[in-house]
Amino acid sequence: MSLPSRRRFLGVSAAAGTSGWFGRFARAAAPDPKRKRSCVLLWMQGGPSTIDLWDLKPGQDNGGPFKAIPTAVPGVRIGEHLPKVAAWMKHLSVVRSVSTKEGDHGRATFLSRTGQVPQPAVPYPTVAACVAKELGATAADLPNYVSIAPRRYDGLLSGGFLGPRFAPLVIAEDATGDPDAALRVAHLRGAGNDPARLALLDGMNARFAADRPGSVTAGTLTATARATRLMSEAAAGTFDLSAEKGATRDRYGRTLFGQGCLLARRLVEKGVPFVEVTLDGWDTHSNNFPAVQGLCGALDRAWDALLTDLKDRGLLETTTIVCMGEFGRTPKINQGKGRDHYPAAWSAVFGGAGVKGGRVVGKTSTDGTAVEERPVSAPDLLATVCKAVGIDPTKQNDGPNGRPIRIVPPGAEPVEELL
Amino acid sequence: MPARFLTAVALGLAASGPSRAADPHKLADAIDKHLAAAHARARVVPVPLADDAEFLRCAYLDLAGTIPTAAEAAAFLDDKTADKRANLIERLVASPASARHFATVWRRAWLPQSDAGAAGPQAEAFERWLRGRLAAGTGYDELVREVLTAPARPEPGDPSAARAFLELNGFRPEDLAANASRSFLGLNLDCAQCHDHPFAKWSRDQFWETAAFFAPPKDAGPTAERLALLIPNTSRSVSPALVTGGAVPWPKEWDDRGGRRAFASWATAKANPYFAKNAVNHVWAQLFGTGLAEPLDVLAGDEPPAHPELRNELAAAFADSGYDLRFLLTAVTRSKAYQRTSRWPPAAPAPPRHLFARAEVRGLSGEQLFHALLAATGRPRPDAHPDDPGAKLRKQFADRFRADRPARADRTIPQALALMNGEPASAASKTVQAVADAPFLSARQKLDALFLASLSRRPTAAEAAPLLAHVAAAGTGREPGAWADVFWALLNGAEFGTNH
Repeated sequence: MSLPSRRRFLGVSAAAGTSGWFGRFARAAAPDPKRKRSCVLLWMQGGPSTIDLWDLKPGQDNGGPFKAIPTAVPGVRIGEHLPKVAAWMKHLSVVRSVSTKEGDHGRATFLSRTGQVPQPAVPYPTVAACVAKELGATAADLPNYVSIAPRRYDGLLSGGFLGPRFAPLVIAEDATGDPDAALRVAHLRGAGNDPARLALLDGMNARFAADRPGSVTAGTLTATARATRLMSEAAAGTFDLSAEKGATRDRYGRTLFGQGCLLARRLVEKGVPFVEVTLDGWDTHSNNFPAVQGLCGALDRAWDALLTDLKDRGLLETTTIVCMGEFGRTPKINQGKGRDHYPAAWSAVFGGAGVKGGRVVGKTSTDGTAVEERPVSAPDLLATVCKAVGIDPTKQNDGPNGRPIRIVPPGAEPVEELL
Repeated sequence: MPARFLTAVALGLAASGPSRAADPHKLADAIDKHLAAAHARARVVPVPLADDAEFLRCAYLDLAGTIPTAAEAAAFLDDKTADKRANLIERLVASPASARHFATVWRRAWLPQSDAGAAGPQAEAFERWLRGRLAAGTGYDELVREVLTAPARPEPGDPSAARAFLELNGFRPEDLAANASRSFLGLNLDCAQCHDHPFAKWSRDQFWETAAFFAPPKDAGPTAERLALLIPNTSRSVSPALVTGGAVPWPKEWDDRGGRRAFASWATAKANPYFAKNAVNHVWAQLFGTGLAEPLDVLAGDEPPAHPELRNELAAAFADSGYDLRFLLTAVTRSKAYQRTSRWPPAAPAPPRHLFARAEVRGLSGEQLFHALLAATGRPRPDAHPDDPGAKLRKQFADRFRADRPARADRTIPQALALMNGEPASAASKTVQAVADAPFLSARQKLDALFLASLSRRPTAAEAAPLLAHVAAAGTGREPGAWADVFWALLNGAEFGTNH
């Protein structure tokens, strides 16, 4: 970013009054009724130990050392290492009865993101891509779907048969180390931001595409067009976390996940319909408890800051928050003090726009191994996301060979108790 | 070292060297006969053959992993020899660039996990080893045997890096079995690891019986029992057995690689029903963007291949040639099927991919794109020696563009940004400067030079007009900047960034 343009960007922000309690108050009091909804997915990569987070079994052999603490909602208790999140419980609800059948990371991730069991021949899009398609604006400068700090995407979790237009902008893929370095969109500025050049390029591409149809041609042209729009001053500035105050950045935690959540907030403010932020490290086959405690520290802090900022800006009414992973972990603690993959009984958390807070849905057995009440499937969870953001989960898209395919497969029922 | 290397090459050729008797021209004709019958059945009229420029660029990208230099392109286009396409193919398949390109292709196909950041050193060593073996003309079966039976520990003086296959599968029997079955036989056994597959024919026992070939052997006991493996979370123990049934070809002399040697000799035997078919399917997918059987790893699944007779004939010819990859590549690229244009009338619905009635527009791998950019901007390829800093740059660039199937991958926004604003644009400046400053060239000749360097062809009059106007409008002294705009647009266009 060149100096003058940077100053201009900050100047505009200051003039609009984005700082100070009064501005926050004014906006909180008057959320934009026409504003479309957004969704932030906090993705717990590796399979979070939900028995240590949301559905504790104190006093049981399977319970482990963590205590259950009271929350803002009387009678609802969660894990002791999420104290800040506990204070937000009036805005959050827990589904304690998720039950799925896939115990492999890849297959389970595919299922919980697309609602489909993987079939190599059908490239299902993620429900996130479908949400972005329904809520996004085609001509927006920012992408409609952004994925922050995911593990390698592999093309599996993408726009699928919806095509490259609905694939996420992936930032900090497989990143480790310094969050500030990782969360940059590389090459956002440079020789390409020149109208004369872009006009020449458009002419050449139009000629080439005219008699060479196909998905690769379309994908190349789409990426060029989207990259061009992203280079615009307003869009590019959204990714500049240094525009935030140091204190704000500290509140989120200076972790990849914390700063990723801050970026998610900036994107939601600009109307991006779907943002996912990955917190990796939940595959705790050994020494589960110290690992979970550490991850909770990052999650608790960032989530609290995100909810605070969204509420202050009047955006919690239009932003749905989901926190989940691909499965839970074995209630039985293994010999290495770890927990292994467990899809049969686990929890997911919903909050914000379209979601009634303070509720607990479903119940697991006293040892945590089985769902006793109100089983919920992965497609049910995704149908709930759709309903919360205000789209119809039964809407059909054109699949391969023109076969119509629903956003969420038939049989899925949204968890109505939360809506 | 060079002397020993040469000896090894000579021995390799003597021991399992591909037979040179096979005739690629005949096989190319057979390909076209099979497809012509399929087109007639489907009532599809295939598109005409590609023009010389289209063919030139595809052949370079597919066989050498890069594009021709401006001089090479001009020479081919102006060559009036009738069999210049066949000559080009012959030259390219034997080139060092081809060995380097296919080392990357096979490394990625066999060890997809080697693209992950942590696997860098092993991936590099494996690729360098493969490059040497391919340059020596080693048979495909021999390559696979060397990978499957590499020593588990580095041995003094052993130059083989084939061990990366063991290392990157963590020496785990189940991962080695799944990876080997998928890569070398086109069999996806992965699901059977945990349960009997509901649709395919593999049972969980069969998966673990295959895995047992890769188990660390116990010291005592009869051959099969030394490799017995316990199925996790059960009390069942299984011994090695072949998914095809039949007697296991145990090696005569037993060592700690005995199980892998047995699996390798079964897998690479001419009688194996999957080995050659899987290889030709991969090569076909590499050259056409779509395999004869898709997905590539369901060879024995429910999906029948698009052209079973064609695949069988290719597989048989490949096996008969002594698994000679150069023979297979030559035959396929000489076929009309390969040499068709990717042009298609805008309004007409395109024929299904599996009919191969039109060339697909394919994406480039990161390595192909990187080399193409080097060629276009007149820089040497960093393959002279492994410590070349250019090799590191290539790795960084390729990482950004990595994809499971580059030919079909969608370009992403970060990729587009990297091309539009990143290093390629700045590197282009020298080429542009040289062209812009050339006092002996007319504007049209300068434009021709930039087109030949980037798109391997000369522009049409309709294309040239707006570009020349852009340069003319810049005014005196500003031409270099205007030429830079033109070259930037050429390098960022879909024509440069795809294989078509």
